[in-house]
Amino acid sequence: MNFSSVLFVFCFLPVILLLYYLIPGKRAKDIILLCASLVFYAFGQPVYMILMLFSMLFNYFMAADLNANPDQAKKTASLVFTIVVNLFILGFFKYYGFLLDSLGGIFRVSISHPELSLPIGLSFYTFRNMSYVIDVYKGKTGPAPNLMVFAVYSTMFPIMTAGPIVRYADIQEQLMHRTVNLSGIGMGLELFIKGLAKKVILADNLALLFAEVSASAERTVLFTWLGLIAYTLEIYLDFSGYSDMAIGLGKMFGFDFAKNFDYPYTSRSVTEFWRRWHISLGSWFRDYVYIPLGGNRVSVPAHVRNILIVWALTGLWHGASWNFVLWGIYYGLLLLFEKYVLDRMPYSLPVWSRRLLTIFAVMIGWVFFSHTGFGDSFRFIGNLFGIGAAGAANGAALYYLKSNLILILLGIVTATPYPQKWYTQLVRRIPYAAVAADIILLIISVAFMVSGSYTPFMYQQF
Amino acid sequence: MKSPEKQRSIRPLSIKRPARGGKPYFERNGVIKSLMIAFLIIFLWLIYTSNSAKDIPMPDIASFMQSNTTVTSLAERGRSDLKRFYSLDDEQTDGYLFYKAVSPMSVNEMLIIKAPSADQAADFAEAAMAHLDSQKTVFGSYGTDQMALLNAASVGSKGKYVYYFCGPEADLWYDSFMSLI
Repeated sequence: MNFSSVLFVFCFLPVILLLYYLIPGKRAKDIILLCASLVFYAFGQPVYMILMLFSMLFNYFMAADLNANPDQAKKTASLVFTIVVNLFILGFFKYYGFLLDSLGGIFRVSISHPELSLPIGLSFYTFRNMSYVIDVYKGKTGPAPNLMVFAVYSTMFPIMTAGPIVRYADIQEQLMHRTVNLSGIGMGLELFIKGLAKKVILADNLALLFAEVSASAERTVLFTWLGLIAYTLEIYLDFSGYSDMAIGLGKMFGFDFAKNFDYPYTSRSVTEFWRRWHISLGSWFRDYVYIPLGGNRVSVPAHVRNILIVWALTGLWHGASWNFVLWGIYYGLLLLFEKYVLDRMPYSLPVWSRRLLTIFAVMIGWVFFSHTGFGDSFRFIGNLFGIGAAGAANGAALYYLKSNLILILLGIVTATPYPQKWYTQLVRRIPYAAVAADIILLIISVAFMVSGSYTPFMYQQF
Repeated sequence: MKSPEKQRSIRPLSIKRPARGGKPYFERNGVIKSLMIAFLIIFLWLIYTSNSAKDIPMPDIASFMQSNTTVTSLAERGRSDLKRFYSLDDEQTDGYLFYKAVSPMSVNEMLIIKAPSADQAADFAEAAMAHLDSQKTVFGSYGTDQMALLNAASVGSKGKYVYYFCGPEADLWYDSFMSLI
């Protein structure tokens, strides 16, 4: 089930919220939330619900097991076993085809293999459950007091399909004692509507523009830039829209999830960009891979190695394809360049130019991200600078520019903090107008939802 | 609200060490771990054997399915109907075969979509399920015969393929299609 579907917005969510609020008692609310999560998951892939439940039970059991073990060596062996099993499941569904294709490519043989569909949210719930076991091992948190509490955390539908990767330690208190009230519903609804609008009004329409550009055999420079701008905005609005909806849903059910995006396109460096983009994934890799590898408190060659390992893995996490690895390594190299070259320069560029350079680097990164073939990526980049392009501009490119200009401008403004500032001022001055603005936004979103195509969230596939 | 004493009494561990004379704690846990791994392997093997499909080109599938007259007795539909009934763009697919009865009172329908990847097939299958649900909503209050067919419809995905078979011959279509892929 998709957050931006009529079924979810008008049937599933109202029924679950009504039950959740009307039935008293924390335990009853836990049961409702767990059942809702199972129904939500089973709607799309009932068979894979078994896998999700297995992951939940396995990690719950392993955390309790290693916590009870007084022998440090056995404890570590238990942790390694847990991580291996989790990564094996992830690898089985996500990477075995990639591995066979890569081996086939190296040895120049065709290894045929059946394709399996990726269980929805596999990468997200695997990382979430692994973080729980590692945190229990490190003593950052105790094991969940009972299976119900952990089941609610592990299967929670607002964060199931595309994150954020919320850690058990961060919401442990809320899992035990949470307050649900009308204020939470109000704030949650407001976030949910904003996320929905980002997705269905802006991201889905920008996706159509990018599809036109990427399908075009002959591209002019203007048309290629138009496509890249559309994709840059689409991926942000789609994923941050989903995150807003997930955080909003969390608020409605009494949970406070940390933000996953913080206006990343306004960053002044690539380092800052990654502190603002998909924050929960970045911090996961920092805490569970980068720091255990030694972080930056090692020699320069070891630090370079650590950065490249972490970023190759970050790329690979996004998908089983070499373009994602290239995309990850591209960021690793940029971060190293910033740390070892730019940061040591005696002068720094003005803020506006740093912002411009950062967004340019990020946009080039999206080319690798959006094209599975290296040839397609480099052809696209070439077209951006006139290499192999069908001229600077033509009638078709100008037509697409004119017909999508408002959409692009709206996307750009939405990617900055200004709309939120204006909205906050409106809430302070005329609260009713802010509510009216939300209702209008919801009505427009529903109109787009009903008339639009079925478009799943981009990060759902990861 | 629980009293502080009660809150403190929540034990942070559900797995307890056994009393004297019971099976050694870690030996018992070893058995549980082995059982879990055995379950996982069996589950993954079943998924692998049941959910995978051969890569057959869409024109081959079309000519195979069209050899069945119960399919071609329906009207062939195009991209606009794919969008209208399933909210799917044909450009997102690697090909499709769509037949639907002309009469709006009939629920007979056959759709096969080849998705670019198995992941996208899962997304398309969701759209097919949504279409089945909306048909049930439409005919739920009065169409007894239609509801019987809708309840017996085969909808799902296998490998890169998504299928929606509804009609008196739905089982036959399903078996033919499955034998092909």
